[in-house]
Amino acid sequence: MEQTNVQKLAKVLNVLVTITFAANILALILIPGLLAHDPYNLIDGARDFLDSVVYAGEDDIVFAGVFAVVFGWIFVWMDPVTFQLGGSLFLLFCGLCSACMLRQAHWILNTIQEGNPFQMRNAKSMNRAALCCWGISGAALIRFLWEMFTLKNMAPLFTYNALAIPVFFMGGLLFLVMSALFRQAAELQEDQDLTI
Amino acid sequence: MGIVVNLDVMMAKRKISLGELAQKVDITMANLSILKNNKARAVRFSTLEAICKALDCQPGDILEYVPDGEEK
Repeated sequence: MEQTNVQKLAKVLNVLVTITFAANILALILIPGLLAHDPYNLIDGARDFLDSVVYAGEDDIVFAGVFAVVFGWIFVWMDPVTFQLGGSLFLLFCGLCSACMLRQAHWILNTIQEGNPFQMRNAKSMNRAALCCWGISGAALIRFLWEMFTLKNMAPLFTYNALAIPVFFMGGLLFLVMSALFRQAAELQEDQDLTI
Repeated sequence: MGIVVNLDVMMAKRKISLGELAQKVDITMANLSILKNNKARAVRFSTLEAICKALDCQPGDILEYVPDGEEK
């Protein structure tokens, strides 16, 4: 059977979602180690980590970075201050939520590819995605309040973290609306299927 | 109970099988089975007309209203 344009688009998106999911899981594993490289900036930590692996330098310890990632999981608990236990937990929680959202997206895209997207299961997946969005928004809010409390200035207002709070909150609401639409569509589909 | 489909009674009276009726009415056996087992949510007039024609009966012979709480 020839695929419709929507099914073709869903197929492409599904591949991208799967790649992103794999990258997300990899990033989850690396988080404590990357923060060990740079406790204050995950991106700089990742860059340092990749530098230490690809360009070993004079000491020629190629796998030092890799070991740091493994030991990061231990050190983060042994030395919570230096290794940013709070930051690690925040990023791990957000990473788990986004992995869960990507998994839901994968299931929904699978049903679109099969040509049967209006199912109750998809409505439940959308609900779970909404909860994940609110989880991230809540975690960002806690981090924002903590930074405001500790820094005692307005700097946390001008960070991506502060931006994430309303963005993910609205994302959650959007998923909830989509969930209601999918539920309604699934009920109509069931009515249609049981009309002889 | 609500609306009860007495298709099996009429089929027995006319001595016609499910497959044969499905062929005459031009619907799948799966759909006819849903109708026969009272699992259908709605029946199209076109389907009802075709069934009545095939079984030579009235819609009232196939469909019956049974008030809630009463068992058929």
